[in-house]
Amino acid sequence: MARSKEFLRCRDIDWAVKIGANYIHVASAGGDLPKIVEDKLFDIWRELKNTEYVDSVVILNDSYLNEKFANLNELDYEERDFRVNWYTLSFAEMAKRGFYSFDRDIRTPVDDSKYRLVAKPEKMKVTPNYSFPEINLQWTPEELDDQNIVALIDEAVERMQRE
Amino acid sequence: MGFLFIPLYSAKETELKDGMSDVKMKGTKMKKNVLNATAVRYALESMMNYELTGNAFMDFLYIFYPLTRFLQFEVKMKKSEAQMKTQGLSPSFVVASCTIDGRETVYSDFSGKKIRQTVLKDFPERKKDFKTWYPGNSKPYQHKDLYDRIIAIGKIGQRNINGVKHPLGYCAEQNVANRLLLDKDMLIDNIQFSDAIRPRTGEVIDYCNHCKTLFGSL
Repeated sequence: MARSKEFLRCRDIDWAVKIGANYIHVASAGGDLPKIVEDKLFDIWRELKNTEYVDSVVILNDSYLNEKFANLNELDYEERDFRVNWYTLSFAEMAKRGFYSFDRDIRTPVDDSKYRLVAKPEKMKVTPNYSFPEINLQWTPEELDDQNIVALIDEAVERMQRE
Repeated sequence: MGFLFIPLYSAKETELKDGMSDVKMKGTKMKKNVLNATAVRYALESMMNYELTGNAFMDFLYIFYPLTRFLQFEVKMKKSEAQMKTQGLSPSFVVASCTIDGRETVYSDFSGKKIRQTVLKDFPERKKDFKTWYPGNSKPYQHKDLYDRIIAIGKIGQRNINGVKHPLGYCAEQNVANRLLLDKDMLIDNIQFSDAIRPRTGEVIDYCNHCKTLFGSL
């Protein structure tokens, strides 16, 4: 079901897909959704609620976080710690559930956004088995950092339908 | 007694180890979400080794009290799982305040425990004057002055006006100002706004050009 732009711009939507063998979670932050995700949004939300912890340790994307919080260096340690922890909390939570967790870079325009990898699982004790839409992309999740994931997924789905 | 509780306990312990352990970061440490697993373990072990005496007080102390601790523990686990359910939240929230007769009123367009705690850390004495709503519950623009100002820019819901991609009239600032103006008799330019904050991450977001033209204080 297609959603209005007003709906998408006013919401910070969690969505997830399976790319190759890896699961990817994205926080939309007012950005667009891929068409395949819009069609199955309720199924994706239902499946996200059923996810379970598979890992206790996550790896954070330090280069992005250092770049994002560079202007906070003047603040005292506690304040900076509080801001960084609040930012990473939601993404670390998803990484513990076996997702490569991405956020929309809010400095980029909403209709042509870049998505940044924030957290990923270190080594999963149990391989998760979730039923999210599967997409054939040649990119690994690390390579998707700083790319327009929505456009890439839309292109890949169109290519699959043509074939 | 022992056979009843051993399998239940072992299943819960593995969940705790997977889910609630610390996040390792370089340079910074996550605050620990402390759940005292060892205390629960000792409580259950003592409960399993205990034989009923017929003394109601002692039986309560050794069996039912640890059991209540164990149930509380389960409730805490469910709460931590609920933290991830952030979907459908607005991408930004704003606090607006006004001062009438020396008394300050604070309104927010977003309702949430974490937001409330964060805001009240800065305004501890204003707890009674702090009102919040969930996004999407805001009234339509019934305040005439604000409605006239918005209409002067464009149609409500129109996008791409003066290079702003966000639809007009859907900003957090405009919603919360409408609420404040309906409840309090005051001028639009006297409203003081906080920084616009994204609830999921706590980061500060820039005001859009519409809000800067609508409100003199921005």
